[in-house]
Amino acid sequence: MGVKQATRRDFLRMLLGTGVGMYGLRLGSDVANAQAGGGLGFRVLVRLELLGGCDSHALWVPTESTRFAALQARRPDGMFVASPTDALSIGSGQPIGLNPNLAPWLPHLPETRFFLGCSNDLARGQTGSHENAQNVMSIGTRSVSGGFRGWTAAIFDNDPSIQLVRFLGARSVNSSCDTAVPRCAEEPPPSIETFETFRLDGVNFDARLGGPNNSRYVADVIRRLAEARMPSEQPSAVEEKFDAALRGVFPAIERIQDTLTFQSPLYSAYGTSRMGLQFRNVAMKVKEMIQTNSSEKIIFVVGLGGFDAHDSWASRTQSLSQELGNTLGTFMSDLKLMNADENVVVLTGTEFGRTIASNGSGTDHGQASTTIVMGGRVNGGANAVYGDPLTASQYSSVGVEPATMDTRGVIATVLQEFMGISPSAAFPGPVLSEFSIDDYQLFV
Amino acid sequence: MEVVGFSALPHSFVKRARAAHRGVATVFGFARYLLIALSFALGTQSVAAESKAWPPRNALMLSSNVACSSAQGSALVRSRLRTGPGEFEVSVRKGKSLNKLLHRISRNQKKLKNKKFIEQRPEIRRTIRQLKRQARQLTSCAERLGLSIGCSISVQTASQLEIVPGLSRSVPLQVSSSCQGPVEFSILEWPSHGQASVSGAALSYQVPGSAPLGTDGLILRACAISPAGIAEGCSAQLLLPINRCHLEAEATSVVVLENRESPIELTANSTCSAPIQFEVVAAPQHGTAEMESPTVAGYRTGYRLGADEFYVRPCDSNGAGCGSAVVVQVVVEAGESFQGAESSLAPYREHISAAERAHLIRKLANSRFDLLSGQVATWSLGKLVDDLLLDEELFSPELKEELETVQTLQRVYGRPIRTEEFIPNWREDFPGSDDCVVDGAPNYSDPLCFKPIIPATLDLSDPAEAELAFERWFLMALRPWHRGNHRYHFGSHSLPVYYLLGSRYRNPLRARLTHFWFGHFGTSVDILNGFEENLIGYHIKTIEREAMGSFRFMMLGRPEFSDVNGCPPLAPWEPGHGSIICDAASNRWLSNDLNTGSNQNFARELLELYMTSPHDEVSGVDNYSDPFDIVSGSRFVSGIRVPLAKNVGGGNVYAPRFEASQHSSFPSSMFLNLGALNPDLPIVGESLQPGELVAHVLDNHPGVANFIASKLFGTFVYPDPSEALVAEMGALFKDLDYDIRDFLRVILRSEAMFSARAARKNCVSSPLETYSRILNSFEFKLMSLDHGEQIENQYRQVANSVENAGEVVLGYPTVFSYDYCGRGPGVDGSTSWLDSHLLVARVTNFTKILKDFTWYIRNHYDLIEVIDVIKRRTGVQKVEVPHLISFISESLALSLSTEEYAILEEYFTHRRNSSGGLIPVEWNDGDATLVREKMAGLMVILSAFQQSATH
Repeated sequence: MGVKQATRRDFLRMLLGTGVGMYGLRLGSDVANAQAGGGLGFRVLVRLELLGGCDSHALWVPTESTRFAALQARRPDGMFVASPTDALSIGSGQPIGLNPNLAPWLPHLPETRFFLGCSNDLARGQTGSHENAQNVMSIGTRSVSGGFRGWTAAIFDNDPSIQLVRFLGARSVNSSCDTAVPRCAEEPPPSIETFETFRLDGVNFDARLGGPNNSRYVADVIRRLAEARMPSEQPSAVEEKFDAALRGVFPAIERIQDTLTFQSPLYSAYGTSRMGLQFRNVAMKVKEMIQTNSSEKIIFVVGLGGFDAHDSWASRTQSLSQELGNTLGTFMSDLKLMNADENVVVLTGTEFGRTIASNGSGTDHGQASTTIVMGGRVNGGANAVYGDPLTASQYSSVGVEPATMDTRGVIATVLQEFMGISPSAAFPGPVLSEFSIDDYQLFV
Repeated sequence: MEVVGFSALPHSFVKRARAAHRGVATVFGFARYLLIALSFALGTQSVAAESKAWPPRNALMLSSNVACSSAQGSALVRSRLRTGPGEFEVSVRKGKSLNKLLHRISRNQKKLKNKKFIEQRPEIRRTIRQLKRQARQLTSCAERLGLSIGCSISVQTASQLEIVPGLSRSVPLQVSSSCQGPVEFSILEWPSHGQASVSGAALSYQVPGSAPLGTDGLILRACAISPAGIAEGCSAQLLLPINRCHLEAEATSVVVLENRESPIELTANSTCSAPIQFEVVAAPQHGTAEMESPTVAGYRTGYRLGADEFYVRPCDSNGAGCGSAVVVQVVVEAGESFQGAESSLAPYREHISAAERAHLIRKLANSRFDLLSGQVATWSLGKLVDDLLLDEELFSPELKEELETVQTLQRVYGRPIRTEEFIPNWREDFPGSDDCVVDGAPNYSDPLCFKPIIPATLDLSDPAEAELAFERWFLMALRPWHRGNHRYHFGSHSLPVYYLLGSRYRNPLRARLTHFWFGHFGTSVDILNGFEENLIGYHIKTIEREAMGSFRFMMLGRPEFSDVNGCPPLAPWEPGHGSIICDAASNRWLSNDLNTGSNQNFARELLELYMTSPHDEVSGVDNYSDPFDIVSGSRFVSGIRVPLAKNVGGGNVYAPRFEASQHSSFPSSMFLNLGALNPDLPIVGESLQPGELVAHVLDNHPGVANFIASKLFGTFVYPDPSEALVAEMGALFKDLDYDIRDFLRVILRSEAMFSARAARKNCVSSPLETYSRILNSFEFKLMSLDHGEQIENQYRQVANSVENAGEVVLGYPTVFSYDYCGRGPGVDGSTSWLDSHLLVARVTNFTKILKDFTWYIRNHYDLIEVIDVIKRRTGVQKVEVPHLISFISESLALSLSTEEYAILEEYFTHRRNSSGGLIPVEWNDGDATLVREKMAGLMVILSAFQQSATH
């Protein structure tokens, strides 16, 4: 067995260990921005929405015995992911352990950070309806009329260098750009089930109906009609949006079909779940960018629903966490095989956490939850946990996990330090002043 | 009484004046007319200031019984203060000599002030003395008679009096008097026709209709009457010229457009001097008419077409009178389409245009243009809404042929388990209750399990049996293919076909409403397993029952079927007897069947999605307090359980019921912070049962009606109505006690429904709605969906295609279901369907559906039948390419640009080879291969067309 070669990451860790501190971190980040991935210039941010209100304790449990006992007392129906002995220890010295269903993730804990006590809007709290909470989770802008535009869509509007792709299953608020922005009106961000199905002649007529030739002809006619479509005299907003959206589909189809020729090393290992196939598509795009020496910056938005476990908590959580662990574990391994893990960050978000106590067979809407950031440059490992789990007395007394930090600070840090995007592009106007951006020492 | 003073008028003048009054053409008379004319021009005259004007007047009239007399006799005529105290201009009627003398004095005023001049003229001195003496005598006499020496009266009135013969008229007399006594008028000269009189301060003149037109006049004078009855201070004679004029209007006939105010110009001839002012004297029978200006009548009509009339008369704007009334005949014609006011719920016109009728069919009936055949094409809006759109029993007459085809085929279609209570007569066909699944696969060989859906025994010429046959077929679409275990159950996964069939053959609006309510409640079949899927059948039947019925009964159940908590009686119950509050599927979906008071899931959705939204649609205030009211609500709705029971067929079914032992009776409060909404809303420390809570909210929470009304309106008229309109609709919906049909009857017939805004495409249709619209407009034969195996397989494939296009009916991704354009969760005007993936997917999956539906064209539906549809609808014998394109344009209300037309024309007249090259083909509507190919392509093209994918 040879001696492990020191990586840039190891070097940066060493810098942190010698107490270079904040200035050194920023300096390191800037260096990383310039040299990430051994010269690969692209950046990929995968926003993973855990929809329905993800319970922190679907991801981890307190492993310190008194805390665990306190949680256990509130959930006599066994609604937690593991016993303290089963839980996979995270970091060093932190009394929490990973849900064993997330085991495929374990090799990547050095590149993973868990932020505890996260709220999407600290000042307002997060208990509430799904709709409001989902909008809040995605806040980029609040319009005068009270509507929302997701922060990823706001970036698309404000930073022309950023590409945005939403996968089906994620909230559309995060891809609904402002049609008043020419870029959005002309070529809105595509929303895709998978790359493979994203083509107008994806299903061919059989021979009785003209066969594939007719299907291709029909697809071409649709395209030409969309391009030739003259607006009606007084079109409604919906009519205008429809025409613009249809016109925007065609260039997206062309780009995405090109990507299909690039298969990542673990292409066959992603399974058949929607989330798995979507992460496989991200890996294919990464492969394409490597091979084309691209310097693009792309944000993918992926959704995984089903966390609204008012009942059947245990079974739901088990299947979801398994899917989460398998997919993210495979994805990170795939990136490492391509030596592209430092060019990619996965950032999770959810609407709200859930109640501490059981309601009989599940949990109801709570407040704070856990945000996860994962990527080759993420300062995890011993620093994998940011924030403290509830104390035993809190576990015994509070109804919901109280919020201690605003998730938007983490998002802004990822954008600024990894993607090189100004937080004001994501949170324009007064929204940016609603939260603080702390020094999380998130990246090495 | 002898009028002494009148003799002061030269007799000849009087004669001439009278002669002139009688129309005698004398020079003097002519001059008088000139004067009258002049007085017209000068306006109001002052008699006092015109003392020298014609006619010469006496100054004072004395009656014969004057006790005071001068030495010269009894004819003191005038004493008038001219310039100040003690200075009199005295006029004495005593022969001409005195008058002449006076005249001379008057002319020589300046000279009279020259003493030298007077001294040189003794006769003047003598005369002056004489006059002074007479003045003293006059003064003395006046004092004795109580006369106000030197007082005067002036009178002002109109410059002339115009009058239309046959009328009477008054003109005011403005009198200014410095005399002590009351003022009396006397008419000195009478007009030649009519009667004049003075009463008070007005002169009245009445003239018969027979009086000739033309000028006339009267003369009057005002005097004060002293206490002794002596007239004094008399005004100058006042001549009031009279013009007997006439006005004559012309009858008018105009054509106007409905529902607007139409200006109608009125004309008349007049000899009166003032401008004409028309008056409406008899209102129209149907519209209203008001004068907009003196000669323009504004006729306003609603939507009633045909003749109307009203009467006007021309009047002199100065009050001379009016001419005879004449008729204004109005013919009201239909106006342009979509002229309704977008914020008005007032009834729109009954005689809607063809474009508006098509609008209704496209928007509400999913393009079932076949429904407009025959007499229906001429039905009024009210009849169309009542007898077609809101007729929930509507059954397509075109269906019989398809049913016969299916019956003739005698296919073996399979027997799903637990269908007894849903499918009529099913039990007779399949007496057993075994599960027709062996080792996880359908047991096709079991004759008890698989028989034709439409037995040969059904007489399809009998409408009732035909309907029964369809019902059996239709309900087959409720049979899902459950993922993973191949068991046949009621459920969701054929529901897209259920929707397509309902929209195609039954009432399409009812299908849309059912679809709407499915999404509103957002229950998902996905958490229900196996046997429990039957619950979805009950859920569907409950919603179908009230889709056009009552929102109250939908929530609470009908009293004849349900207890206070909306639960069925303990006896076997039937599908369609349920309620949402006690619906097994909903309670299972939201885990309320486990709730003993702490599970907030159902209470949250009850307040956030089912009955109210988080914020009121009008005021914007919170409809509930989160989480306080949620916590309380979770206690109130607890206790619903879903135990196993027997259905009407004796099979097992989960029958929901309220179990008090599982209910939290912990006293709780709710809506405490929302008192401003309704003082009766707060619940303080009570223990309510689920049904009681729902009833309380329905009765007292104003947010319910606003929310539901706004959502219905947003879905079927246009989204995001104004707050004022939502408030009006909310009040209406509440007044109607949440009756959906009655509410729809108002909004579907309203101005708003036919406003330009509603006519535009405001919502993106879901994939299923789009497919349904295209299939309906081509009169697609959906019952062709069979190719010799079990229909559920094909139904499932269609459902999968719809699902792949982004829509899973009753299998929603979240509790919000999808955004179907109504106001509510996901408020973005249904533009969430404009997802690029979904745009692509709806095209590709429609291709798949067409493949599925047309698989076995020899026995079933063949796309060449579209040609017959086009022939019937367009009336052509042979369908050429322009007919095809025209058919598309009219179906979609689409105007194609030249370029678009050329693209479509090219498609119909070319094929592509595998390398993409174009190969010309000659269009021939009898070429089955070409027609199938092009019709399939056309339908897929339309699925991406904005005009068919929006509504």
